[in-house]
Amino acid sequence: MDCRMAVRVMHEYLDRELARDRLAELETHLRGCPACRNRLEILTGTEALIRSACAGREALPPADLPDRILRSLPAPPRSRKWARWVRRHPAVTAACFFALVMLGSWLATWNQDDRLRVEAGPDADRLVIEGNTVIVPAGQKVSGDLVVANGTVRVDGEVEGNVTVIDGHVLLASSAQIAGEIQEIDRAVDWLFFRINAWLDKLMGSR
Amino acid sequence: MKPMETRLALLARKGDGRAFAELVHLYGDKLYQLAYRMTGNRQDAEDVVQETFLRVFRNLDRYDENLKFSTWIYRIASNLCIDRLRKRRIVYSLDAPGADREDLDGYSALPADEHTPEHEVVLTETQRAVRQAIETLPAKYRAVMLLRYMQDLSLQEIAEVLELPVTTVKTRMHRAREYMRRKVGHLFKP
Repeated sequence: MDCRMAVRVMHEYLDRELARDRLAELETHLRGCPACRNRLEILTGTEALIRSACAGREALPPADLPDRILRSLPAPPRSRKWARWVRRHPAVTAACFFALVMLGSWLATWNQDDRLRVEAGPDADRLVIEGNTVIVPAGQKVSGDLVVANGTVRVDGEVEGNVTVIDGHVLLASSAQIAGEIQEIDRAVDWLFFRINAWLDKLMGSR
Repeated sequence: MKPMETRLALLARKGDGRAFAELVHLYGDKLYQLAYRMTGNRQDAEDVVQETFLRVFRNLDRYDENLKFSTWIYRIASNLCIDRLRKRRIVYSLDAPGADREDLDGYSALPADEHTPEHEVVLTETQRAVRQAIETLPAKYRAVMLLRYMQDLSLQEIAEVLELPVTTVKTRMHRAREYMRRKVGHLFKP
């Protein structure tokens, strides 16, 4: 071990990170090198001086510092728990937010109009509307689906598709013939499912 | 079982004011000593301590329980000290030529306040000289040295506090020690 290396090893010794076999090597070097012996002695002494200079607590903090610190703290925010959750799950939060906005807009469209609405495809002119009642007259045939919102449907004739009534109901005459399904939807949620299903059907159909 | 400080921090996170007050009492003094040695100035030390606790309070939600609480709080405090010294360096031009920085680069010495309140212990001549030598160490070396000799942290812990590789901490430690040897080694009389 040369002197250069010995100095490096000394510092590791002072760091208390020197392996036993390295320490033996250092001792061997020191035995034959007064300069390095002296250097280690002064380094050890310097360390002692630093410790002694740092140990003194003559710089005391003002006695009222803890109180001032505690008084300066802002009031804890109320929504801590969910704020923490939000911070940890940003993707889920974004998804939830999106879903909420979408739901809001669905509900808004659902709530908005309480007027009678009829969707009947190309055969809409065959329907008769009396007040809030949509009538498929006897002997008439609606070839597609019939969707009515906020009204009653009276089927005297024939519907080749599905009949769906939102916030209303279906009256069937004995002469009524409906090839598809009859569905009555009363709640917003159902309306949503219906919309989503219709959309999915369309999607599947278009493939 | 988690260490007491960690448990206190978790309680404080849930809004337990007494747990937080306990942390202030446990660490207030230690942080003040560290900040005072780092900045060499009472006002700065006080500001750093206040700011540290404010940040701890605001970021309790982000405290990672796997990290020792002491590591976390020392990290915040030493960053604040180093920031302060960096800003101060812009204000005062301390890069006077001939300053005995030797091979140590970077920002350094600070205007220490001279007045000594009555309750303070009078330092010996030697202690004063050592203090002054420490104060001429550039901040990044001083931080390593103070965490080691004042707060008794291991090199590994210092690396975590300063978010540096252990090898870097080691190098700084060695350089700081050599610097101190040159400055005050002669004062050591066995």
